[in-house]
Amino acid sequence: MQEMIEIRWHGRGGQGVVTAARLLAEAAMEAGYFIQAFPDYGPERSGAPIRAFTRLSRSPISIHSQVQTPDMVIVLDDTLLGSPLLLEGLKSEGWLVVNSARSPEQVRRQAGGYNGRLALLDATRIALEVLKRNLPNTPLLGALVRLTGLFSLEDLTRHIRHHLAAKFGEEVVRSNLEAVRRGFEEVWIDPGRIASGERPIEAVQSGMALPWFELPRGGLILDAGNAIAYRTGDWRTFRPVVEMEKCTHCLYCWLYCPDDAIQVRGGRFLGFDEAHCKGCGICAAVCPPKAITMVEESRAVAAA
Amino acid sequence: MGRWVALEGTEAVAYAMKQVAPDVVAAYPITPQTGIVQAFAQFVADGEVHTEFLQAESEHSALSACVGAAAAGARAMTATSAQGLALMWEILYIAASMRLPIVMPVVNRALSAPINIHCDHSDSMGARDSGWIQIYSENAQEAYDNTLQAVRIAEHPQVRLPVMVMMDGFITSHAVERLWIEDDDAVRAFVGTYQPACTLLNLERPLTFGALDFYDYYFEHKRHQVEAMRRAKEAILEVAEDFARRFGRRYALFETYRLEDADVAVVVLSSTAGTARVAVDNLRRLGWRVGLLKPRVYRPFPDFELIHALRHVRAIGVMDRAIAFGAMENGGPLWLEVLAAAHRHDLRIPIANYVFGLGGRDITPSEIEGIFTDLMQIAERGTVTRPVTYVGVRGEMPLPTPAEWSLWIPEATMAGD
Ligand code: SF4
Ligand code: SF4
Repeated sequence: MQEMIEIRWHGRGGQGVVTAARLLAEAAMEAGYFIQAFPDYGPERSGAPIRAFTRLSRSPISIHSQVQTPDMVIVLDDTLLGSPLLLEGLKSEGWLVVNSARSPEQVRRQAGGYNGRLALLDATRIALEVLKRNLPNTPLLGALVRLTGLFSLEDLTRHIRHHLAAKFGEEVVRSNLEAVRRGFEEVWIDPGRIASGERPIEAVQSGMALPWFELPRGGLILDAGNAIAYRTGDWRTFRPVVEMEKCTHCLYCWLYCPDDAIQVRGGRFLGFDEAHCKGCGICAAVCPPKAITMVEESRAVAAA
Repeated sequence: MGRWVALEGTEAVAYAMKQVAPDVVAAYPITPQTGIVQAFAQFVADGEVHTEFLQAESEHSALSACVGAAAAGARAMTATSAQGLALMWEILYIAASMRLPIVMPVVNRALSAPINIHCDHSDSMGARDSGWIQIYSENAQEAYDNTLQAVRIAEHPQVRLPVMVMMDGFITSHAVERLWIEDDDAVRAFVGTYQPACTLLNLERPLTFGALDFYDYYFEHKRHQVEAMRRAKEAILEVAEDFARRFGRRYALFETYRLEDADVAVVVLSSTAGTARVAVDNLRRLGWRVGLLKPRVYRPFPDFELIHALRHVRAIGVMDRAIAFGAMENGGPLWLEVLAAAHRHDLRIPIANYVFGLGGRDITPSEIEGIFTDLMQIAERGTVTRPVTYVGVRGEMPLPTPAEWSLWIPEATMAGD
């Protein structure tokens, strides 16, 4: 292995991105590596894109900047694939690892025609089947063991047993090990086409364009009320779906929705503002006749 | 025309505030600032000034109310001391970062514990890096004049920063002194009406104030504050110039006294500068070439100008009424700043520190003469052996007296001037 492996994780608030970065690091530590795992904290909102980083090394790690040129970019949510920031700095021989049910061709297309190394795993499905919960981290760990060869499945098994057995019992250990095993076996690996000597994907400077003297003083925002331009709808991992025949137009949902995403006309419930509904599920929780259910976004999109 | 009056320091500042007639004053009383708030509240109650006066439940709330008022486009003021300033801490930074031109007289008082109500500069020195402009006043006249000028400085379009105007607790705040106060109309003409660049209450042009600002913008906004501080120096001089033209009293970034031909000099803030002037005169009578530099503006620190004025002396003594605990040699903040400025501007002479007067401990001309004597010895040796002296603290080695120095160098007593 090279001296140090640097990994950048992408996901959405609530998906366990930070935990995943940490889990991998901890497992690697028990296999004898020096480790670092840290999040890139933003406003901690469910569904908002967030990043985390893992460094694994044979020698002590002293660097404390964010990972600039990752050896591996791991994406926990394939709705993020369109973002230009996703592949930023990825080494030409680096890996893009995606949790997705989609085909490699679809994923490559969504990732802007990415043609480097790609690994795919439907970790969400495995997690739902084996763990009965949407915890894609565990199967992904199995896939990463296979992909990196950093440590063995036995190392990981020992680690999981050590951490879960006392607290959750043998049953939980067994299902987690099963999830890891399936991740290890089911990960789909495509080496892609990498021309030798290809440069890493260029860093994109986002939102950091204005020099200080061109900014309004005192952190003022001159176009107040611009939140509408911010598509919080992109954060959705679940979306509300209404059964109109059950709806009594009580407008509780409108009252409680934190993002003003319930559309109302003439005092009657009309639907959801998809550009701004972030899928928090509050409307579903407060709806008296239970007319709203939350459906996983990717499946809802696929169904549509 | 103005007139001579006999007022306490706090009353002088309250009178200045009445003449400025801010839209909002939000304050909480604390000794020794109380006189300001009390007198001002009286003016409001008597209908002499039409200010929205708000007695908040704490200093934190008082300054928060000023932040809200200033963001709404109002001219806002408050006043405080010691623990009150400490309690305002987080709002200090908010007021400065939001670039709100709030003016706040601070009556310097020691910080607890032990509880003490008397003067030292630990309170305002602790806030020296909060982004506020800091102006120190020697007496009631200066406190009055500085309060008037602070309004113009804070609101200066090139600046837009909050300003603290300091005076020494009890020594200045509670001493009655003769001072000249200007005519109401003349003051009104000098301060003008506040033209906020942008306000919360302008429905035609809604703005967001105090938004979240991460690593992609925060630093740029801080850089903006740096620029405001840089420009403040010029603005302060510009306002002082206009003040002098209208009222005849001249202010600068600092004041010097018999410094031009001095061999050694003392740098000291506020009321003690007045006492030091007496010490300078006493020693001059003995033929000693000693001088004084009194910084008026501490933030922005006039490093270049100050070092330039001190270039010719052979030793400098910086007197601090505060300790920067754990800093180099456990010296005072003013000393550290002068040392840094000397290094920055290639002045290589001995610079010693004299920490004095904590908790209101009196400082006398003869003690300052002791400081000058120490400085003469330092100048002679060309080096500082005791970098920081805690003046008058029981158990510390005392300073030499002028008589001792006369024994050292007999000719020092000979020349008279
Ligand atoms: S809360 Fe439920 S029933 Fe009431 S308006 Fe909303 S969807 Fe309809
Ligand atoms: S899930 Fe419901 S409550 Fe939450 S943002 Fe969407 S519409 Fe509003």
